[in-house]
Amino acid sequence: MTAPVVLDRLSVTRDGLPVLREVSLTLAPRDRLAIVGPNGAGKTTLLRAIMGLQVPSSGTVALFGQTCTHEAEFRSHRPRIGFLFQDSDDQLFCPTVVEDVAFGPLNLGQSNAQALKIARETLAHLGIAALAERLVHKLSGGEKRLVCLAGLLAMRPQVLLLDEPTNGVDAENGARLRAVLHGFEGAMIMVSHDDGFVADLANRARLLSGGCLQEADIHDHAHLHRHPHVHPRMKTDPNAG
Amino acid sequence: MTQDLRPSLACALILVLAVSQLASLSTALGALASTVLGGLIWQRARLVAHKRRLLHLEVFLLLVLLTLPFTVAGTALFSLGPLVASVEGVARALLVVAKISTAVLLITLFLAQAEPLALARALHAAPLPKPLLRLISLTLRYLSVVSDEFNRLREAAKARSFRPATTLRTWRVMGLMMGTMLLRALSRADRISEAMRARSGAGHMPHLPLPALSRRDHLRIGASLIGALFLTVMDRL
Ligand SMILES: Nc1ncnc2c1ncn2[C@@H]1O[C@H](COP(=O)(O)OP(=O)(O)OP(=O)(O)O)[C@@H](O)[C@H]1O
Ligand SMILES: [Mg+2]
Repeated sequence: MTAPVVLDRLSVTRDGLPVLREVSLTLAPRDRLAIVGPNGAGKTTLLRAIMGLQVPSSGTVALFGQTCTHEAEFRSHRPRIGFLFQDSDDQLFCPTVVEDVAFGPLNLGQSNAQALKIARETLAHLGIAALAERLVHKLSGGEKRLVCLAGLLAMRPQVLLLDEPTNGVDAENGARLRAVLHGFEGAMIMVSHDDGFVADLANRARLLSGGCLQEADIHDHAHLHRHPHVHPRMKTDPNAG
Repeated sequence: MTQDLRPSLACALILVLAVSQLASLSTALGALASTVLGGLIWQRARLVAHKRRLLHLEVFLLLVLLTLPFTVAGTALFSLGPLVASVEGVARALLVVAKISTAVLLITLFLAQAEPLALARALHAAPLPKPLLRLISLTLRYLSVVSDEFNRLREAAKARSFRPATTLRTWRVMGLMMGTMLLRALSRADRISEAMRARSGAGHMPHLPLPALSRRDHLRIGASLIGALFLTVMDRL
């Protein structure tokens, strides 16, 4: 099978400043790649360049074996790539949840009724069927994140590009999100500051800094470390004040 | 599920159209009187709830009533210095006031209680241009995002001890806030259109289906049509 995403010495400048310098990357069909890096390193820019939303100054983007330079070439591959935007409010532009999830299927040629049916099934698959009729602007941040993902999965993509998927998601919804992503068959690039999430889902990682991609390891050794936890207070303890 | 506003929208549209075409003062006053009466009998609570809004309009209409008589030529009624009020002008002013009041009352009675989303849904059934419908639906979606953004800016300023007063600095800060809002709105619009492209958007929006109109809905629309017809005939006689 051809690699869904291949970047070859891709450089991007934004407002005259270089953001990516000669970045090369190959994403295999079942790859789960984590990209980590400090704020402003260019992670979002990299994902945008893969989607064809960011014009590179040099280098090439190849999607499913085809080198893409023009909007029309990118457009023909976008149905197979789901891009989760960093800010949910950018991605959810329909008034209600089910309509937003139906947006993608409708664009793929389904009828309005079929698109809504697929949307409801996808919401049920993510365990958020109860949100279907809700107004998008009244959802919590974590709920919005899951609805965004539903909107992508409803299009049955082969690649997911996730820009900080766990942003604002609580532990319960986070577990739900991970379960859904574990069940996803295709390739995935995840940009995340959430180490637990990366360690759980990624099979390799790259570090983006100074505009360059470097190999990185995911720490998977069981070292003893301290970290603060928040637990609910036990109400039954008679000694508790 | 949100309410189906199509019947109300159709009734309001039919009646407002009929009222807008009235030419005789007596019919217009009759229409106003019967709308007020009907409203008081069937939708008293709604009228009371929107009293303030209606009063605002009447203040504006008072202005029309005071100025219009002087700008229409005809038989002189009285004069204020060089300005002459005509009988025709007074009649015209009364006609305008009666028609506008009736139309606004009708819209209040039929649609004032509507949820914005229900209204947008109903408008989808109307033969309106698609870009306009998309504009309405996007406005609905992003109004709260923009107002939240503005409130956060204001609170952030307040949290750093900014207190608005009638000073040049306040105006400058307000101007900066407005500018910030505008820039953010523009870049958000860019990102939204990118998000649409990313999901292969080509301008079509899904919409939840509305139930078929009931017998009662048909009756309401029929009654409005008869009312509109009656007004038009009365007007021409
Ligand atoms: N709309 C824009 N116009 C111009 N320059 C931009 C724009 N957005 C980002 N940049 C610049 O591009 C660089 C990379 O930004 P990018 O958003 O890709 O970073 P990031 O790695 O996603 O950061 P974060 O972790 O904060 O999301 C930054 O230096 C930023 O200043
Ligand atoms: Mg980013």
